[in-house]
Amino acid sequence: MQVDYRYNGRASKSPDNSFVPRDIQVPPAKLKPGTNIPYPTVVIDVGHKHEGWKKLKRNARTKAFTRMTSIQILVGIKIFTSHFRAFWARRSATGTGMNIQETTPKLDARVPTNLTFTLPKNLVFWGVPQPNWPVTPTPNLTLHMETLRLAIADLM
Amino acid sequence: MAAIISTIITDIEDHETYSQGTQDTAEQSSEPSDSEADVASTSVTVDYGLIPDWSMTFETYELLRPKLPKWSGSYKVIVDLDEGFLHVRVVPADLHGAASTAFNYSIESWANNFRQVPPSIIPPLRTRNDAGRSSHPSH
Repeated sequence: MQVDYRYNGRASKSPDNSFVPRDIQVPPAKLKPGTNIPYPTVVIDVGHKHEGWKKLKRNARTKAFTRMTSIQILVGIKIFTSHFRAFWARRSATGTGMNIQETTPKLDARVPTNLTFTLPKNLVFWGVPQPNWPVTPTPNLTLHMETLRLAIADLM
Repeated sequence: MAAIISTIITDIEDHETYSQGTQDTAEQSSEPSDSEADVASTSVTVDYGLIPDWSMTFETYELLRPKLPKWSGSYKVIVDLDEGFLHVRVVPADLHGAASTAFNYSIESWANNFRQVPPSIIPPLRTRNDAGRSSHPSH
């Protein structure tokens, strides 16, 4: 499975979505064991039902940000019956574990929101030599929670 | 292995029925706290998606994984290997897919500097997900 990522010798997780830079270099990026596919820099994980908010964060810390992977950013989204909530975290400076950077409160899916997350470009394009970074319209990547709300509101 | 796969698929279909019956109670059972201090490094709660009786190596998992369905009706089947144990869950495919890909356009267009990337050129940031249903297995 190209999408799955192995995070220790006997464990593998299927992320819900991930992004990998075209020009990522190994090292510093790490390859998924047994492949020549680098780990993504950005992963999106969605939690429903039995995967609660705490578990979503615990999985981020203990699975996405293990020493085996080189994932830099995880965006966690928890879906409730009529609400949703999100956080984003970056790999800890120690190389394993995470630091949560921004968290939303529990948001009503029927109410517009102007909350945003700002993801640093140097983490999105981590592992890419800076001269090869693409030109982007803003210095960092802004994710609007309203985009997420509009995508899911009618399906809840 | 075929018998085990058959059992897992039956369990997935059973779980789908169960999930439809419990959807409305999910919000009540979710944790309200978001304190980082509350997040334990190991889980001590019962995990209903875990199949505890069959521990396997990663190599066995790699053989098994493509044989398991990605979809069951309107549900997406999520399969992980957790310390050697298979972890199988089903989630509503439409909602899950919408949430997991909601930011795709924002992220890709930002990385492309709001320009259209010709099909012959690999974009600077590529998405990898299995949200599409084109790989629906026959089961």
